Amino acid sequence: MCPDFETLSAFFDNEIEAPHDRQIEEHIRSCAACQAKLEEYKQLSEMMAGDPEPDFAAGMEAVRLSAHSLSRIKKVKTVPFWQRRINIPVPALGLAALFVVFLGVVSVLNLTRTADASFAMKTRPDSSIYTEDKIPVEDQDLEKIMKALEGQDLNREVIFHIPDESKTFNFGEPALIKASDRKR
Amino acid sequence: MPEKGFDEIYKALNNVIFKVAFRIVGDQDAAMDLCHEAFIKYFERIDPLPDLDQTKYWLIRVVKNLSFNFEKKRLREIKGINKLKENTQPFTASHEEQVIKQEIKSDVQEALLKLPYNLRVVLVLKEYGKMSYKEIGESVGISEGNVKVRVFRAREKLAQLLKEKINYVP
Ligand SMILES: [Zn+2]
Repeated sequence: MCPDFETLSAFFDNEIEAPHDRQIEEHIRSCAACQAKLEEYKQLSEMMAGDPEPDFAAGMEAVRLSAHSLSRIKKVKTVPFWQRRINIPVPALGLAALFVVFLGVVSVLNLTRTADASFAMKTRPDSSIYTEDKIPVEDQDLEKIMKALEGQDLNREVIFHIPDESKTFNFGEPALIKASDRKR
Repeated sequence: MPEKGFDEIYKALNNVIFKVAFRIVGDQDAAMDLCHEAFIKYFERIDPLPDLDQTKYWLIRVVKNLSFNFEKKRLREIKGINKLKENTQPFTASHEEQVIKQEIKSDVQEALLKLPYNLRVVLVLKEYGKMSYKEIGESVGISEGNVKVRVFRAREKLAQLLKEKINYVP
């Protein structure tokens, strides 16, 4: 008697335990229908494996560098902090508008140890050139933050480092500024 | 997390992590974002993971969890485009269709994206993640038996979609 196809699918994945796997194997040897089904799963698997993929090497290298830079920044700091990573394409004209959105989301900052707050800005992962500038923020003056961002490349990743001790109040809708939401 | 250790792990795993992310969301940029987020979460981890396999499953679990947001967004967009098709002149609709077609790279990926998310994730983890039913079950939070059922259903559905596609093309 033929095993059901669900079992054949699991057999194809080597997920049938002994001694049942032997029994199925034996059956398949003399059953054209089961052989055909197994062949179908094999072809499907090969089709998936052989399906072309985008060239992601450069992009993933940038992801690695970005993760590195985050760890480096973390090491340099003696005071632990939480950080928020936000991809913001910053068109010069839309800057102000974006920051209004940003403000609504991230928080109202009440920095008790302002000296540790800084921005790190670097090119987006899809760029081959990797640079990073850290811009210290002396106080919570948003004018200064915006000034610092002006004149930067259009596509930059902006990382905000906020000292551990600072009090933040989150409100607004985080989804508004997620990189994925902005991009697509 | 020491940097040297990270590089080794990255070298060993970035390939499979990207593949899994890409096959679930079907979009290169979105997949890259998912990988970025997953590796940063890994950096932020305090407890070390025992070995490379555990690290892989952990990263894949993170990617899988994050991918759900992309899926919701993707479905919203498809809904939006369908609505647009219903309510607009034919030439606008065909323009929208062209936009979609440009994003789709292959029959296989197109068919994968037509699978229900729950089936797609499990099959992707099997075929591209090279994970056992047990590992998939732990990543997704379902039983091994459930993985078996979903892998089977995903295969049948995918095969059917690809057959339709191949027959349909003039
Ligand atoms: Zn049979």
